[in-house]
This record gives sequence, C-alpha cells and structure tokens, in this order.
Amino acid sequence: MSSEAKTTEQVPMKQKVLSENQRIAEELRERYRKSGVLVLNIISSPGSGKTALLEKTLASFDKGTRVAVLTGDLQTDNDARRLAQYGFPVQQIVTGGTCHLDGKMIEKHLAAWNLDDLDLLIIENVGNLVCPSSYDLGEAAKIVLLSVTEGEDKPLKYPSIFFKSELAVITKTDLLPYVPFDIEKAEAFARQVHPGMEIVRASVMTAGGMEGWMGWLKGKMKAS
Amino acid sequence: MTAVTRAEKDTCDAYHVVEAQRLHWGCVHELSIAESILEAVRTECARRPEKRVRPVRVGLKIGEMAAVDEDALTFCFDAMVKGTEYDGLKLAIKIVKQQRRCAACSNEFAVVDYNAVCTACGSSETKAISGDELDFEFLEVETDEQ
Repeated sequence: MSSEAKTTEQVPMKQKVLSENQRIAEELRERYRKSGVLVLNIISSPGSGKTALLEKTLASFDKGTRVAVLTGDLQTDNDARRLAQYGFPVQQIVTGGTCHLDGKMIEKHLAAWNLDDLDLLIIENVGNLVCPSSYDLGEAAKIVLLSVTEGEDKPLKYPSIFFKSELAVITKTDLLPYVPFDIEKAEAFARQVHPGMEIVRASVMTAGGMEGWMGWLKGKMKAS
Repeated sequence: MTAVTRAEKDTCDAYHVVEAQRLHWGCVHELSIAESILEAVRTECARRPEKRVRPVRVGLKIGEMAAVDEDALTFCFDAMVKGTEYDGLKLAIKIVKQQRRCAACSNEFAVVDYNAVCTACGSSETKAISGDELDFEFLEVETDEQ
C-alpha cells in the first residue's frame, strides 16, 4: 500500500449563504410581478401592534378589495382567527419554533391561493426584530413597526431592520402622554441608520390615527 | 430498549445544546444559517467525487448590517457538525464594515456608530455599498493523495 500525503487547497465559493432562500425569493418576486400583486413584509418586536394595525387596515377596506394576509407565529393560529373576521383570505403560518419566515414557507402557503385574484398580499412576520431581516420573501418592501412603549433608541440597537425597511410605522402613539418616549429622537435615530427613511405615526385607538399609514399604503398600491 | 451509539449520543447532545441555546436567546436564526452553510459544503464536496476530499474550513464574509451574530453562528455550527462526518470543520468569519457612498460629493466612507451622514460634506443622501453581505468566500479542503 502506498503512503498517503495530504494536500490542502482553498476552493473559491462565490454564492450567498442563503442562496437557496434567495432563489426562491426571486421566483416569488417574479410571480408577484406577473400577477400584479403588491407584497409587503411587516416586521417588529413581539407586541408592537402588527396584528392590531392589520385588523384596523382590513376593517377599513371595501369588501371588494383584493387583499390577503399571511401571518407567522411560532405557535397558535390566534392571529389568523383575529384577522379572518374581516372577510378576506387569511392563512396562519406556524413555524414551530423558527424565529422568522422564509421563502419556502411563503411558497408552500401560496399554493392555496391564485395570486391573479389579489392586488395586495400582506405578510405579517414572526414577532422578532432581528432574524426576519435576513430572509428575503420576494416582497416589494419591508415595513418595520416600533411602538412608543419600546425604547426610542431601538433603531440604533437593531439597525439592520431599519436599514432594510422602506417604511417605519411608529405605533401606539395614543400612549405618548403616558410614556417617556421621545418620538422626534426615535425618528432621528431611524433616519441616522437609514437616511431618507419614510416614517409615519399610527394609533389604532384614536380617530385619524391610521391616516399616515393608510395614505402610504394606498400610494404604494396605486404605484404598483 | 436499544443501545444508543456514541455518534447518536453526540448528535443528540448537540441538538440539546443548540435547543437550550435557542430557548436561552429566544431566537437563533443562526441555526438555520448554519444548516444552509453545511448544505452548501455538502454540495461543494459532492462536486468533487474523483478525490477523497475532507473540508476543514469554510470562509465567510458577514456584513455588520446582516443581523448575524458571529458567536451564535460559530456555536450553532460547531454543535451541528459535532459527531458527524464534518466533525472539526471550522468557520473562518470575516466581518465586513458598512461602507457608504455620498450622492452629493461621491465620497466613500466607513460608517461609525451607524451614522450614515457623509463624513466629507454632511449630506444625508448616502447609499450603502457594503455591510449587508452574508456570503461564502472559500472552502478549504484536505485531499488524500495516493
């Protein structure tokens, strides 16, 4: 038997680590484009008011609006049941412990729907300000929510998601008189991380509290 | 009751450790990322069937804005390969700082403290040119030669 020698070499690898997710996301993006559906990916910490904002949004739509929602959580279909009350198609994605939604989960759940029947698809990501920012779902825009019961320095603590989101919605603004949240500072921090970032303030509890968000959403739908 | 082999026990321990860490942090997308890395290593090794190839190091470039924790990723990856055919395979991580280019004066600058304002002219009209990557750089392999 001949003796064995070991040689070491470096093989260059050019791809992205999440290239498989990226491939699926690009396929999804192409499907959304062909069907003319605007897809938005909503991300925030748990409890910032994603579901409440969506409830109020769906409630304000005419019955004929061609909108659907995919909502992600680690467990339970509580959010889907909350959102289904408004008469639009809703599906729960239960991740079973995974802290984000990925392209494969979206692809699987979209099999139940015909995208040509939709103008707007809202994806409510798992409540988490970190992990969802790494996974492209083929969306037209990411939207980050920050509630006034959190710290105003969150854009600096979690810069990645503010960096990647087109719009920030500052929620629960009806609570501003009761909490030490400096909203001007929060907005300045968001724009420090992401210059020119669009920011709207929202409250689902007060009259007129939805105008900024709905205005942005309708503008986006018209443009798409 | 069937006996548990050493390899099965190691794999089981690794999953317990990862699971405990996942619960401790509340979230570990680094675990999913570690799985993706291992999958790519498998694919790369399968492309070279003519040689006996053993991967020893995976080079990665991770941007500071990629929201990936270096320690968490290393921890998950080490736990995942332990007791498998890839036992001992290591990550070599290079952290890439965020760089931006100013639309007003074309200055390219490294971002400090996430402050995206141009360091030369003070304009806020700046665009990121790096810092968001989560890319492979290389796979270092050992080959047994006759």
